[in-house]
Amino acid sequence: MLLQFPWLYEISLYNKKGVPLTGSMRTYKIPTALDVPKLKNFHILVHDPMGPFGAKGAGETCTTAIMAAIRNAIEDAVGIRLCEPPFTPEKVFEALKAKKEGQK
Amino acid sequence: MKKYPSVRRLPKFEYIAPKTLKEAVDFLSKHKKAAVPLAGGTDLLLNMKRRAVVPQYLVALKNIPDLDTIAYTEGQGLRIGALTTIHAIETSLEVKSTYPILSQAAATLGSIQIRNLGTVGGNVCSALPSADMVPSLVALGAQVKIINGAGEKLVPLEDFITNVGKTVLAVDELVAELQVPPLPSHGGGTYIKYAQRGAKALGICNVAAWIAFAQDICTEVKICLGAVGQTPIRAVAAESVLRKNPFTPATVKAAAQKASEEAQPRSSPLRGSAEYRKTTIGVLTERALLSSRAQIGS
Repeated sequence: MLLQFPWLYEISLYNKKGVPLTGSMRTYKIPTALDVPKLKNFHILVHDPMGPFGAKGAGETCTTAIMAAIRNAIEDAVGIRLCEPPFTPEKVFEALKAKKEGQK
Repeated sequence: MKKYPSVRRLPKFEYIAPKTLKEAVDFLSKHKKAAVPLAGGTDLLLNMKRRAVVPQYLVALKNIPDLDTIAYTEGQGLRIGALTTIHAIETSLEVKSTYPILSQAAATLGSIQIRNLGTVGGNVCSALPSADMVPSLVALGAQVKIINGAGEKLVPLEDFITNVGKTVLAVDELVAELQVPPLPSHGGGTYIKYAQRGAKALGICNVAAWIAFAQDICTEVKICLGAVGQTPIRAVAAESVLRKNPFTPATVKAAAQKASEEAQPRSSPLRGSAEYRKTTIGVLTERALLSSRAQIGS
């Protein structure tokens, strides 16, 4: 399953009448094989008393941390705090510009 | 409720497959707007499914011999048949060794499936601002060979496209060939496509740059900006900053600044604000120029 990229790419946009602008695979861009870096999985094995034989769901649970990690990495690199995913290059550009103007 | 504009089944049409260019042109001039030429069909068939075009006849060009050839000769430069697929350009050794910028541009277009069907003639005639083949062809000074009932004529590619989806091509004319002139040996070119993702996306902004040198002076430079206006735009002011001048970080920066001013992008919720695209095209122009310079060596 794709982990982090919802936070970089996917976005739902609507026009003034509420018609979705990203209503097909042509406009709702999901990452391709060219965009995804090599992924590494690390398992932290714990016993879950609620699951059968201590088993635990291993799907989306792990995806939530990625957004925060990317956001914090951007802040660490250039000192801007983005609050609204997806963190597209354009949003970084706007935030950097706002930061620059704030410093003047 | 208003019906949502969706992709539907193909409308009814008659399929005509002439065996020579003359037959095709005759058929087109007889039926005018009722007949539409079909090359790869990657744009046309979709537009038909959307009912943007509903032609009575589709004139398939693929049975016409020699329309899909790539030929390079020393004196005449490169000739690319209109029906040459994007994939053929991408992988052609002749193109790679003479005009690598073209195979580089071809590799960025759509996906492998689209490149296998789509043709260079179709890419040029669809005349979309974001067409991936056009900026590099314009930067190389390509000409379009048009065939009509009266004979043939050559039109520079930069004058060929007039607006979004509009070209100087009349309903009874066909593009037969793209001709890229021979270029001085001390030249290099780069195409950069900036899109939302690595493949299968239209560019947010594209730039192609081609430069040639003699003793550290820029003898020739052509810059073409894609997807930042109604047609691909020649960045004439940016070129004049560099032409007949030394190639230094300062002149490159100045040229990139000019290119950014020359771009006329619209703000789009999907492809970014005009300001963002203007800034980005400047950055890309600088990168394209530097990378072209690096190809030439000292």
